[in-house]
Amino acid sequence: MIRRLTIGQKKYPTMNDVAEAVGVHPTTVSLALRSHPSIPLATRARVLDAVREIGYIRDPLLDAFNYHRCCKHTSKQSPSIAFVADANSAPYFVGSFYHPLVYEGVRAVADPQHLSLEIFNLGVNGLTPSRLNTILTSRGITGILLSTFTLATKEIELDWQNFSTVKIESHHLLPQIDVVSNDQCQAARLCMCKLRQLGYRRIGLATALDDESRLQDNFSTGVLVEQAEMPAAECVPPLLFKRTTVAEIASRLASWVRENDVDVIMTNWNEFFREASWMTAEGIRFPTNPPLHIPRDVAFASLDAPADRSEVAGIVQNHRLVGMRAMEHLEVLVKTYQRGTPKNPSGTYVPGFWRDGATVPKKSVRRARVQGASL
Amino acid sequence: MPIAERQPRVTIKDVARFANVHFTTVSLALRHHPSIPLTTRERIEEIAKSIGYTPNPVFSALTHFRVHGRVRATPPRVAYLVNHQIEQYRHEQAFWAGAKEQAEMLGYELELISVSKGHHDSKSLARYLKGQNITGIIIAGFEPGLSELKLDWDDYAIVKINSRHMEPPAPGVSNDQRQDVRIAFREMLARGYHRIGLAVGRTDEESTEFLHSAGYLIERAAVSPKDHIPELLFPRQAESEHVSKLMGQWVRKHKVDAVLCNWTSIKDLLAAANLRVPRDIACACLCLMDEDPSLAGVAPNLQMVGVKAVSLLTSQLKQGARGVSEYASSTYVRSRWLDGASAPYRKLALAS
Repeated sequence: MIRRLTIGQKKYPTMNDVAEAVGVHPTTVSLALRSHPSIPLATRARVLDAVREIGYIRDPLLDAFNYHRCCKHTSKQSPSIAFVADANSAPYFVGSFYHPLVYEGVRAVADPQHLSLEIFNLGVNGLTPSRLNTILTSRGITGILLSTFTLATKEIELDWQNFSTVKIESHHLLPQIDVVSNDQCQAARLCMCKLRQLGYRRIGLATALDDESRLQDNFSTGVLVEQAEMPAAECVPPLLFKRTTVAEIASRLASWVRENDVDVIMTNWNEFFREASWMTAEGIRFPTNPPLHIPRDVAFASLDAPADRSEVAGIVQNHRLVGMRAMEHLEVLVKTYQRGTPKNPSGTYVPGFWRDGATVPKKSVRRARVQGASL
Repeated sequence: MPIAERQPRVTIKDVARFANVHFTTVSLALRHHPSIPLTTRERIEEIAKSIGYTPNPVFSALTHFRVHGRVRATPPRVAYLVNHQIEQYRHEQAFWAGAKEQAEMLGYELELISVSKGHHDSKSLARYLKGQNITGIIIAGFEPGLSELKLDWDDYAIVKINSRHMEPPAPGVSNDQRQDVRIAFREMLARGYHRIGLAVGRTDEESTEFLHSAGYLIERAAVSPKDHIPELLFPRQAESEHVSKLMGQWVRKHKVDAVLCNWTSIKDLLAAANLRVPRDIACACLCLMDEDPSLAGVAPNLQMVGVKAVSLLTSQLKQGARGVSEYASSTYVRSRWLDGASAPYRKLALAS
């Protein structure tokens, strides 16, 4: 259908014009422009040639308008995004405030665009990767968000070339695809700077070995970068412990604190604050021999300060923004048909911020020696 | 401000409420319609300005559609800001090419704007962006020491390419120097080198918050302390002759057997210090611009950096996010290792 034009009005080329010129259906043009895999390369090239010749440009205004329109109306059918979680990781996050926040961020981006999210728990009720593959394919779901996976899962076998995927946190997980995570390196660096400003001089990092492998050694990296600028006498070797019971870890932690004369523990482990019997009026008492008191004997800075425990000082991570960035990223990949594993995977890191708390009291120090060094 | 906490958009009806007029009056006044008395118009303009009303480009376009019977007025534009000629820098051209292609793919028009002598200054740029109704900007190539950029950041959705050193805090995209060093270090270890040293420019490190160093330190921590080589940071604005001399001294002093360097001229630098590659020393470039059989290293995908920057910006624009980010995310695009004669397997090198 050709619109009758008023005099002097330039007609803007549309997708129909391109389709007519190439001799294909307009929907083919649309798919070709978004590099849809169903369109043969040769056809796509022809379409692109015609597009250039005619001067057609896709209309983002309609696109943006659709966004606004969709915000106001519920549509009956909407594309889905699969939010794939790991059954194994559940014990890591029991009672954690982490997962819900990430998920909330994902929803904050997905909901206004009417992308519905479906949660799949791998390993629960016999949901294997191959079963998941079948479900996603038959439902026409092409976007996948891979939530946090433990080291037990090294690789997930799906027909990756059919999906656009973004991982959350799990750097170790194969295949290599775009990851969005908290900036653990920045968290460690910022935390050390703040602790030094507060007068601490023996700052020790304690974390689980498997956390570091999962997060590509980012905490240690941050510590090393900061230590590079610090006097050797103030550099404490990190404690990387195996994941066992909290009591055992506390006892390792206590001996490490004493051996290295640590004045503040910096860790992503908040489990110590979940043991009701350890709580005292003055803080936390590790039932080690001899007992270790926080903050009387040693201060404690969390690298992932829990929202529900305001007495814990440390870095508040921005889990919600992690979810938002991941969903934004995935939306563009889905829309531009970027399927499969990228040649150059990217990592997006969301920084955290410092929060004061009773577990890190300000230290009275002899300042003279360190004037200027404390940032 | 994180977008989660953003205020709802100020609309023409808000202006109308404040001015105590009908919203159509506001609309007419802002378009300088002759039916609106001048005093009323000025009053309304003042109120619009004070409560921060700006026309929504999407709805302006739709109105255009309704009035003129065609969808397109102009595609929404996004500004790609630089402060120097990018033609002479291949990596900057690659950023630009990737960004431009992705913008077209997503239906935006990307405009390259120079903030430099003879072009725009911050003030004229602000006027131009406002006049063109451009609300999305990519701060791309801003070399320190040249023209600086100062805009009313709250008016824009902002994404940066590199440029971490400069205002404002905003989500940034760059290549993954930290991982790149890690990849190169491991490849060198796998080839039988033990005394692996990092040599990079101090300016590069300062502008990236020591990303190369970060990757180097964490990898070095995993090898025997006797093989810990201190990094060589070239001084700011060093001539290659001087760098070459420093490198020669450093290699000899610390018995470095493999150099990781972000300068593409690494082989020449070593040659000028009378070090033969790969006979005396192996090397890998941390920013390989071309496949070069004689030089090993990591090759960044700089187009992809541009692609990611535009993707991120369009997401922000669509959600109505504006202004400085309190917590600016960083996106790094990982490079790929490419073999080359400058880093042979050690045993093979000895045999020959």
